[in-house]
Amino acid sequence: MKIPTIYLAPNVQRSPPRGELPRPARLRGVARWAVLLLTVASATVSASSMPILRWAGDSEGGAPFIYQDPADPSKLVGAEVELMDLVGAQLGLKPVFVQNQWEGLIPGLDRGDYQVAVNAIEITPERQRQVAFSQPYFVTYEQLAVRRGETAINAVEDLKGKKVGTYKGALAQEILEERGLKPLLYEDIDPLYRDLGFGRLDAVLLDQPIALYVGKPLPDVKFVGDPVGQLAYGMALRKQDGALRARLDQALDRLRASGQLRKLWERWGLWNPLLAAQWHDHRNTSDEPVAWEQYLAARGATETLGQRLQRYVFKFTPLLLQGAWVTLQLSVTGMSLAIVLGLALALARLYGPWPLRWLSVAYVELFRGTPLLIQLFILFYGLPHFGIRLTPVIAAILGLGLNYAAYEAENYRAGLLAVPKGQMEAALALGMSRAQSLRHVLLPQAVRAVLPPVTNDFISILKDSSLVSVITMVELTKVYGELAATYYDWLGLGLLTALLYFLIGLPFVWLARRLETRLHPERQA
Amino acid sequence: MAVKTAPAIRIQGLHKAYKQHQVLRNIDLDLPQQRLSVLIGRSGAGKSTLLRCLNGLETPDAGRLCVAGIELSYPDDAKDESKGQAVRQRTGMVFQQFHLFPHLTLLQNLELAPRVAHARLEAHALRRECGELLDKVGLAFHRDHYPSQMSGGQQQRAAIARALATKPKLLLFDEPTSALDPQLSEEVLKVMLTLKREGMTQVMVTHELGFARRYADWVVFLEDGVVVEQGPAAAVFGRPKDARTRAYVSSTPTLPRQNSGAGPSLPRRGRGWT
Repeated sequence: MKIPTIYLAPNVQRSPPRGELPRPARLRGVARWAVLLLTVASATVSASSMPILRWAGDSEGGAPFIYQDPADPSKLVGAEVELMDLVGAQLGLKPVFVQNQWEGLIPGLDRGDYQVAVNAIEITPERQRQVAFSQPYFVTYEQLAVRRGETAINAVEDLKGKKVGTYKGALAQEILEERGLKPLLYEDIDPLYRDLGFGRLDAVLLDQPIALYVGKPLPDVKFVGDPVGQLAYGMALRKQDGALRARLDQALDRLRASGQLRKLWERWGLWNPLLAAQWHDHRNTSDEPVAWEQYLAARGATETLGQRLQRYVFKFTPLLLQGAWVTLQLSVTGMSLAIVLGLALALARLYGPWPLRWLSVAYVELFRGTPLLIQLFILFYGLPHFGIRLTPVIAAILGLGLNYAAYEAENYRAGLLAVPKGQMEAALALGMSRAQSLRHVLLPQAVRAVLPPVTNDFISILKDSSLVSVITMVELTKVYGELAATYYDWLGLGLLTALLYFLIGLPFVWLARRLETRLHPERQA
Repeated sequence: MAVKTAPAIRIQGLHKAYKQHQVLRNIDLDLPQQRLSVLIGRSGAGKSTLLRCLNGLETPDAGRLCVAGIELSYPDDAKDESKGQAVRQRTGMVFQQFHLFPHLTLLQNLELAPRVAHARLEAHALRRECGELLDKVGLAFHRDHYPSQMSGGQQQRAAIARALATKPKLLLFDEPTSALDPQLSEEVLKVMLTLKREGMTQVMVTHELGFARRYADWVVFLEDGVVVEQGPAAAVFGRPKDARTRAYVSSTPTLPRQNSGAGPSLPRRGRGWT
């Protein structure tokens, strides 16, 4: 279960370089996949002649900042989506959303696929060393939550000896540790509040917006105590984009002066005393938290089984199928690359001159011995530093293909070594060259021997392809994560997604079996 | 049977060692055209190594070879893959373990090398010839079977047909019947006798002394990597000059070697083969 990993604004950017995906290449854009392959990712999407402001976020984070509209999951809604519409209108720019995994938002700026990253990114000194920030567009605090019926805990001071949970890397962690407390650190948000209900935790301290949108709606969670700490969200951009930064600040100034910004946070039920103090805006609240109420209504809505089924069939399935299509294409192209390259590597290792042999060994050990995830990061975020800027699709295919080639090379090598030595001698004795003997005698026998392990690897690459969401590709697992974050439906969607993976693999398993029978004709007799 | 024409194979001063172990020492040997020559000797005497040097499956350390009209001089030609291949294109080899290609039918086994290595592109003519070769070794009805479906004797006969499909000038046999029981050996030896009658040059490494005594034209006895004695079968078996030859030739029949039974059994039905 993960929800807004995100709002949590980890204090330190710990992860290695990460990725981003042009929004257009996202759900809607999945259909443009083929085009993406040819053009440079997403460069041209808007038909409008208005200049474009590309901004990135992670919709898997969920409410209230950027999430899929429960009424129409192909549409994005959220406070930050509205914020960027307002900013765009101020600047005469058309905001275009670019999807990226949250951890990749800041590293992705360097790739230049988007100009701004806006997704509850807390302004911290560590981040300010890497990127520039606009002035804060939102200020908030940490909110303490306890089980309904709990009376002993009313403030952070009461937490001594209690089990407190928070998100790993959040400001809350720092605050708790400063007070000598040892919080339990979670990687995902949803389980935090759930464990509070189960009694595994006595209290949860988290950013107020998440506490409000994820924790508050649960029947056995209540908020206690005063605001704790203070954190400000800013729009992150490259340091060299000073002009853009100035324009963003101006736009925010004007939105604040006109009251539009306040209205926005009020609509989402997030206007708070810290904002009032910071912006010297002490008018009485006027706007109803319409968006917050809508969100609550959508979340609490009881629906009939028929409605639910309808949503599964008409909303979830098409979106998941689009994701599955991406998964399938990436896996098939990635595996094709792996099979061809793997063969070359195996041949080089077994029959090549020593420099090739050595290179092949090095390749296999390197790609097999390091995580695919890191390889994807390096391909996508590392190579641009050397002037090689791969599109997400190419980086994904290369990443999967190069990694799996190492495994396929070993499969082939095993297969070739398993062919008796006499086969090569017999072929040579008939006057065939070494290459001809390999091609017509050894390889056919090796290939049929390695078919089962290669099929295995194909099924495996199908599932491993979910890793490419870190370089902004929206494939099956990512679609699942986004939908689940929107509908709080982890089980049903999870089963449906698992079923899709299973179904994608089936035809290939069947095909491999047919091929195996075909390559072993003597077994039929 | 004397050597009438220029030798099919001429070996001069051939040396071969594996690390410190001298396998072949200064071999000088001529083997006749259109005859069945047999290399005999104890295991480890160097027979198989010598045979495999003839078509370049093993590389001699020194010496000169002339096989099927191609001259090789070692160590100069040791690195020259093409010369070895040229010899192999003009010769055929039959192995103890057959080494048929398991993924191909018998017919495909025969067609592969002519098509790939000898640029035989007329598929129909090639298929017909290969079919005839299978017929010749008694496997006409098995042309579409796979090796794993056949007995050892059938596989070995198919292997001979496969070697013949490249139209070799001579055939090398490396203990072709050692993996077979006497009955199956007989099938194979019968094919060799047919080839002998047709004038094919054949060189066989074998422990089938009965067969060698009865049918070989030229017999070479090796021991410890040296040619101890050579000559017509009647001379080597009947009046061996060297004590080592005498010891080997006379001692062997008393050793209960299963396969040697094939030898004595041949003449009974073998009248027509010779």
